[in-house]
Amino acid sequence: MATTKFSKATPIFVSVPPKMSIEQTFHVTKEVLGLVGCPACYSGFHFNFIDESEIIHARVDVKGINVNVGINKG
Amino acid sequence: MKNLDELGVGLIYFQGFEDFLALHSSLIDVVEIEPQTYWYDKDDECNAFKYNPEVTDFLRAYNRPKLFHGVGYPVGGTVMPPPEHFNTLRQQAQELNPVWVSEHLSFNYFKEDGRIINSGFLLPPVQTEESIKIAAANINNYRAQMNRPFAFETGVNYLQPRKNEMPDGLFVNRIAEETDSYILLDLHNILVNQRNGRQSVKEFLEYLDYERVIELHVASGIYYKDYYLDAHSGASDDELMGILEYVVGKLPNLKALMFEITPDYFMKVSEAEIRGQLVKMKKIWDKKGSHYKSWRVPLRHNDKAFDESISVRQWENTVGNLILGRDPETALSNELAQDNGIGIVKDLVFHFRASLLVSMFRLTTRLLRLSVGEEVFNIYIADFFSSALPELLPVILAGQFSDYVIAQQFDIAYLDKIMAYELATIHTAIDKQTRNVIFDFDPAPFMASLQKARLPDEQLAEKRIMVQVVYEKQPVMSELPEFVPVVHN
Repeated sequence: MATTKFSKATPIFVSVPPKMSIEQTFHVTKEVLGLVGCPACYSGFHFNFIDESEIIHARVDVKGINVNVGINKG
Repeated sequence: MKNLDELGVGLIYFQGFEDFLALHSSLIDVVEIEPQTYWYDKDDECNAFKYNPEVTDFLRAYNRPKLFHGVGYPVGGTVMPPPEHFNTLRQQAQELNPVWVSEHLSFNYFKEDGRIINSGFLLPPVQTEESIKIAAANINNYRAQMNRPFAFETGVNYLQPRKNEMPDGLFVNRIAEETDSYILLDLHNILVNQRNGRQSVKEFLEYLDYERVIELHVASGIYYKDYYLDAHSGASDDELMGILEYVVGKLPNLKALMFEITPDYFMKVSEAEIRGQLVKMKKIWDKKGSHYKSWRVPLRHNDKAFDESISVRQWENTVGNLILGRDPETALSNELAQDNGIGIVKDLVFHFRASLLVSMFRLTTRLLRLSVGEEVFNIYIADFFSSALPELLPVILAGQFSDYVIAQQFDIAYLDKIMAYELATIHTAIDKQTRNVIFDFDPAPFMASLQKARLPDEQLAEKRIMVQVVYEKQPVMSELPEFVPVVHN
């Protein structure tokens, strides 16, 4: 069975059953499964939202474009 | 007050710290647990919360005394915990036998029009006589519910001191005296308060009855918009370690000295930095009580009257609403709106929530962001948060976000399937049940592209594929190498 370890911060693994080929195996972000409990005692700053923005911008800058798909606001 | 066992130096445990605890057990005398961080869903059958049993298994096997540090229902507010809170806490306490339990002298819930609203943040109570009485009632209730020794923690306050406000140290000590309670003195919190313009650490300590302090917390912070934040971001700086050394010498009843670091920073900083912090703490621990003066009397100000014009309910409602971006339009809200600290807390609450969202739904939010563009994406996130109040359990946020995205009827290819998959992983992480997600395209190349923060270059062919999400247990401590390292001081 193909297994992926997500994080040393979480005791959870998600695996894809063996009948699927390796091309169909994918990874889930490690943070998802480490965040299922109530938030901790901590009054500092979380950077994931900003980090995500920077990751996306880095990609967009490289390609020189932003990709827009139609959006139904109705 | 009961005579408690002397425990020593330790750290606050989070999932992922197991290897460190196992490999550096000689530096760890005691482990502190934030029980609610392992609560992930409501258990309606038992009128309690469900929590991660693997954490309990690990901690039970780890042969060190335990402490509980509550983060769910602080003792500084008018909203009392629901029965399931104490039911779960008692159950966990039965399993792990904490020497004492602690909670914050803060509030996080407030009432409005008969509703109870979660602010999503530990907020400072108003420092008045009424507030002292409310905190005292909460502490007495907590002790009765848990039937264990209890300490309350001195909190962070990003607001400026109000005119003629009861001083921070006096407020804390008055509550301790009123309840004959122990104090968990978070030295980093009071240094944060000092650096942001509140009472100095030195002045704070003058009001404190040193005999009541049984536990100390130390941590570190970062600067954000000219504010110093209690970020738990690594080893403590020299100023805090100097304060620690000074304070430890004054405390005759200190039983535990704990280091706080978030899991995020635990992964980022070197193991040597954490080890070094604990080694320094152990050296300082040996000096505890060495400068205790039994004749010392804390400063009291018995003859001075402080501002009592704001009711606790009014304070909670105003501060709670303001940090959620709503203005009750009262004299107090006008006054507090001038305080930059409100904006800081608003930012922190937004980033807590938004970061949780993008972490739980990394692929979904990337697809959304890449599809509609950054500006529109941020508008949707702000709109979602304005329609969904903070929740104690992240899984509730996940469900709310999923409902919100579906309701928006985005015309974005594959969005519904990617979100269904991520929602399935969240639920599988919680209940360990296998789930199937059926795609009408091959998700592998699509997800691979999103992992790289880009949309796929080519149109995906139609293809029916079922992905099974399966829970598997991580290897536990028994599978780790067994040795006790030699530590050179």
